[in-house]
Amino acid sequence: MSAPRHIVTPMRRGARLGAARSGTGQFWHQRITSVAAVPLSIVLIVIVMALMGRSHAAVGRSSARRWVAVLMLLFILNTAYHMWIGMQEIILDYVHDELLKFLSLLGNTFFVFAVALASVFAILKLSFGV
Amino acid sequence: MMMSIVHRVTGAALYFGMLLLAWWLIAAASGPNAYANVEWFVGSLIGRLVLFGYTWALIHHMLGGIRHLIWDTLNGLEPAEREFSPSPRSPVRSCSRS
Repeated sequence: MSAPRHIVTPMRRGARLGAARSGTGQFWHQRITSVAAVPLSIVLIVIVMALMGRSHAAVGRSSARRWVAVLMLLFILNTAYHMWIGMQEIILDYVHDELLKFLSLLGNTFFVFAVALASVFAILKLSFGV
Repeated sequence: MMMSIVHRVTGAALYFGMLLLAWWLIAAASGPNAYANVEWFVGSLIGRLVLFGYTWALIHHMLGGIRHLIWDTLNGLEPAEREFSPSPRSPVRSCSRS
């Protein structure tokens, strides 16, 4: 006798039973952001190394350059999405208590958005002149 | 296995370390007073250690990630290829490549 099979009814969907039937997209997006992260991270390291220790005015002048600002924006956005997916994987692997999992996933999204948008704001402000 | 968990741990460390990057950028955008705090931190011992650790974690995570990308092409999955040191050849070949 085979195991009982279930039709995925709307009720079961609402109760979050059955396969998620999504996740391939995230797998692929994680690969895309990984590949993009390699050159972008190297660029960021070079920029930070060049600016660290220099005066505030020098940082402002360098950040105002178009290519610096655009590359930093690309790095922030790419990394934000990549770390959002990555942290979600970590949470889903280790947190199984339903409420804690829900709050953690919420926190993950809020953290990523807050950090990313604050950074984007700062880069734009630097780019347009402090 | 060690590299896998370190890949995850460096990822989590970088995740929270983004706060540092955001702090640097926001301080630079705020003005010289705010930026003076960053300059102090960068010059201090703890700041240098944190920067060093963050850069190390970034490179380590990046190299581990490239390893994952190579695996995605289904190359280098054999036991001998996974280890840096040569291991005795197993008489039973892994059936991961089909």
